[in-house]
Amino acid sequence: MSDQTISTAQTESQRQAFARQRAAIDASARWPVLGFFTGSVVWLLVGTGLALLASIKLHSPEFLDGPSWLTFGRIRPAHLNTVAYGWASQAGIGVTLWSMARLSRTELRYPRLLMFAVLLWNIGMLVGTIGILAGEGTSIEWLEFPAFAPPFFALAFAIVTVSTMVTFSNRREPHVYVTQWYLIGAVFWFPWLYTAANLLVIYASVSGVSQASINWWYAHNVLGLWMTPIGVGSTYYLLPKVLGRPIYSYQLSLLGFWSLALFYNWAGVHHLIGGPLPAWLITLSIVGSVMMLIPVITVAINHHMTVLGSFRQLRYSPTLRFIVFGAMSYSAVSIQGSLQSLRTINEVTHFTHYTVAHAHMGAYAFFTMIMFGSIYYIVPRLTGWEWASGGLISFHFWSTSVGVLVYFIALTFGGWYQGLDLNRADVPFMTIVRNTLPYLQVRSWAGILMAAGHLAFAALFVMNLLHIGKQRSGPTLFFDRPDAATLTVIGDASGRTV
Amino acid sequence: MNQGPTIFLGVFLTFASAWLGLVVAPYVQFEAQRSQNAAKVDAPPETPMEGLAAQGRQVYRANGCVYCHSQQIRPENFGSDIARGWGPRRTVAQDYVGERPVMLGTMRTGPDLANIGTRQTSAAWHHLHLYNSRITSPGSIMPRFTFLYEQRKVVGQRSSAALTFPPEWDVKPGYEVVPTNEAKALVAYLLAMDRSRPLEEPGP
Amino acid sequence: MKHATTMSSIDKATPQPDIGENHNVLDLHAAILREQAEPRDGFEPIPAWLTFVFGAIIFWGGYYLASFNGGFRVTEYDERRNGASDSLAKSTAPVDPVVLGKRLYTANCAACHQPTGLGVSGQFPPLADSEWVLGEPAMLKNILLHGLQGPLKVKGQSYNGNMPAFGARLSDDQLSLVLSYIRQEWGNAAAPILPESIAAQRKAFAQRTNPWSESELKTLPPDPIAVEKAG
Repeated sequence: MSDQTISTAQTESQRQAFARQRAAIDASARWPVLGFFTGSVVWLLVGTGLALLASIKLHSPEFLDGPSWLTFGRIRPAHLNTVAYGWASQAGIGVTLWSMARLSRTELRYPRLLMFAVLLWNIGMLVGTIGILAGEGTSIEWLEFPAFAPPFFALAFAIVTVSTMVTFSNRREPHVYVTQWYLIGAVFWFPWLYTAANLLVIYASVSGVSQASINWWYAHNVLGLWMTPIGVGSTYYLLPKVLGRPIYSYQLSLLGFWSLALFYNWAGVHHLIGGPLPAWLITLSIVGSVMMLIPVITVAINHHMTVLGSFRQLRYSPTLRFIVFGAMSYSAVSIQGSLQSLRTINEVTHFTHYTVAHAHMGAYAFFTMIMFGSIYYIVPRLTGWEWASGGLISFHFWSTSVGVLVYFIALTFGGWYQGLDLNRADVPFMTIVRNTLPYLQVRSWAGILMAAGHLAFAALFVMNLLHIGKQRSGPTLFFDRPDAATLTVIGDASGRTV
Repeated sequence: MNQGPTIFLGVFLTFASAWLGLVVAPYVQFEAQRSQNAAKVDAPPETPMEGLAAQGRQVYRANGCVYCHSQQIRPENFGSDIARGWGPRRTVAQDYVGERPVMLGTMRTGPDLANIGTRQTSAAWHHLHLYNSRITSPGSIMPRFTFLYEQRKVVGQRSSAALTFPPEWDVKPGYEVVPTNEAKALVAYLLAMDRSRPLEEPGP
Repeated sequence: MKHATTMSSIDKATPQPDIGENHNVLDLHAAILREQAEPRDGFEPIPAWLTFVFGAIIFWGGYYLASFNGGFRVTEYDERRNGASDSLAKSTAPVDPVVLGKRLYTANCAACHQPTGLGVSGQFPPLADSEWVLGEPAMLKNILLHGLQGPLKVKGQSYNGNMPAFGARLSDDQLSLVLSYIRQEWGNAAAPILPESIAAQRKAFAQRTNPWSESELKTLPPDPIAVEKAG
C-alpha cells in the first residue's frame, strides 16, 4: 500500500500501520544514526573551539602562542577538517541513513557494520586532527589529513554507501522521492571524490598545477555534491513532512536535481581565477558556477511555494525554523557564489576575508542549520524522548542565526574593502592589514555567540540521550501551539489547511 | 516505474563528464606540455629545489603558511600583483613543475610569496621576521614562530648563527637565539622562491 | 512495554498488535504516531517565465564559453585572446642562443654568481673577467660537470666554498649554452664551447664523482678536443 495516496485523511488503522512500520525502521536505524550524530556533536564542539582560537589569533597573534601545535597555520586546517568531516559529514551521514530508510519504507541495512563505520570515522578524525596539529598536515585545502587518516574514512564511507544503496534497492515504496535522488547522488559522488582526490594528490605523484585543479575540483565538490545534496534533500523531506503538504512541483524537483548534477561538478576551478591555469579551464568553471543559478532558483521556488501559506508554523517548530533559515541561506549564498565567480568581481574578492564569509554562509548558515533542524526532528524518534527545553532550543537558534549573520556581514564588508585596497598598489600592505582588524574582531564576537549556541545544542543532545528532563507528550516547540492538547496534526494528509 | 537505474546512470554520467573535463583533460594537457618543454634546451629543472630549500618546503607545509600567503601572480590587467612588485609577470603552469605540494594559496592575509626570494634576499631579515614578525614589520599579525628557534645561554663565544636583534627587542644578556635546522631550511626555501624567469607564454 | 505508561496518558485506545504481528518492532511512541504521512509530490508545472530566465542564463553561458575559451589551448592564459595564434607563433620561433644561455644562467647560476656576474665578495667568485672563465676551457667544463670545493683564488681574492655539480642536472646542450653565454657577457670575450666538447669531457672523466679542487684543476691534461671553433 503506497503512502502516497492523494486521498483524504487516512483511517486510524492505516495511520497505526504506517506508524508501526516507521517504528520498525527507526529501530533499525537507531544505533548507527545516533552513533554518527554523537560523533558529529563531539566534533562540533572541538571544531568550534579550534574556530575561536583561529579567529582570535588573527587579530591577536600572540594569543596562546608558543608551542608549534598552537600556531595559526595548524589550528586553522584543524578547524576546517573537524567541522567539515567531524561535524558536517557525520551529521549528514546520520540524516542520509535515516532518511533513505524512511523514504524507502524499509529497515536500514547492516546496522552493525555501520556502527563499525562510526568507530572508523571517529578514529580517522582523531588521528587526522592530531596529525595536523603535529605538523603532518598536507597543506592541501580540504585534504589536510595526513596519509594515514584517509583509509579510515574511505572504508567507513564504503560501508555507508553500501548500506544506503542496499536499503534503497530493497525499497517497499515504488515511487522514488526527490530526496532519495539527492541522497543516491551524495553517497555515490562523495566516495569517488574522496578516493580519487586522495589517491592522486596525497598518495600518487601528481605535482604542479595539476594538483591544484584536482584539489579544487575535489574541495568544491565536497560542498556541491556531498553537503548540498544532503542539505537540499533533507529540506525536501522535512519541509513537507512537518507541514503535511506536498512538494509544490515534481517537474521543478526534476529540473533542480539534474541541473545541479550537471553543473555543480564544473564549478571547482573558480577558486583559481587569475591563477597559473590556462584560460579554458577557468572559463569552464565560471560558466558552471553561473549555470548553478538554474538549480538554485528552481529549488528556491519549489521550497518557497511548498511553505507559502504556512510560514506561521515557523513560530512553533524548531525543525521548520532551522531548515527554512538554512534553505533561504542556500539560495542567498549560491547566488552570491555565482556572482563571485565572474572575473570582475573575483578580481576584488579573491584572496580576501570575503571568501571566508561566503564559505561560512554555505557550510554553516545553509548546511549546518539544516543539520540542526534535521537532528531536532530525527533524534526524538530514535530515543523515544522529546527535547528537554524549548527555551534552550530557542537560545540555540537565536545565537547561531544572529551569530552567523553578524559573521557574514562583518567579513563580507571587511573582505570587500580589503580586496579593493589590495588592488590599489599605492595602498601599503600593512594599512590593509590594519583595516581588517575591526572586522576580524567582530567575527570573534560572533563566533563566541555561535559557540554558546553549540553548547546549548550539545547539552540538549546529551539530555535527550540520557532521557533527562520532564517527560513530554508532545513535540518540544518554541511556543505552545493552539492544538497541542490533542494529537490532531496541523492539516491532514491531503494538503493545504490551516 | 523503477527509476533506480536511471538515477544511478544520470548521477554517474554527469559526474564523469566533469571528472574528464576538470581532472583528466588538464592533467593530460599539462603532462604533454611538460614533456614538450623538458625537451627544450632552456627547460627548468624537474626537481625545482634541492637540499635545504626542499626541506624548507616541508616546514612551510607543516606550519600552514599557505593559509595566509599565496604563491601566484595574477596578470597585469587583473589585480595589482605586478604593480605591487610581487613579480615581473604572471605565473604559469611551468613555474610549478615538480612541486609537491603546490601551495598556490587562497588567502592574502599576508603578501604573496611567489618571488619572495628576489624581493627579500636577507636571511637575517627572514629569521627576525619569523621569530617575531613585529620586529621587522610593526603592525603585522603573523604568528611568532619562536618554536623554530632556540633561546639558550651563550657558552663561550656567541654563535655565528645567532639572531641580531634591534636593541628594544634584545634577549636578556648572556642569552642568544639561534635558528633550529627547521628555521634554516625554511629560510633557504624562502630565499629560493623565484618564479621570475622569462617565459614565452604569458601575455600582457 | 517500556512506553506503556507514556502512551496511556495521552492516547485513548492504543491499538494492540494483531495476532502474528512481530512484537519486537512495536515500540511506538508519540513522536511517530503524530507524524504526517511521508511527503508527496505536487504536480504544479514549471512556470513559463522561468523557462525564459533559464534560457537567458544558458544563452549567456554559451556566449561566455565561446568568447573566453582561449582556444582550449594549454598555452593560452589570457581569456581575451581567443583563437589568435600569437603565443603559438612565438613559441616556435628559433631563439637566440645568447638568450637561451642567459635563461639557463638566471635559472641555475644567478642566485650565487649574481645577474651581474660579479658574485658576492668573499662568498661567490665573480665570472666577469675571471681567469677561470676565460682561460683553458677544460677547467671550466670540469667545474660545471663535477663541482668545485675548497680554497680558490679568483682575480687575486680568496674563496673557500662549494660549487655543486651540474653535470647531472644539465645536458651537454644546456652546458654548452650557459658556458658560451658567460664567456661573452659582462665584457668577457672568449670563444663558445660546443656541445661535443662537453660530451668528450664528460666521457673522459666519466668515473669522477668528487668535486674538483683548485690544485687538481690547475694540473689537468690539455683538452681532448684540440681545436675550439669560433662563433
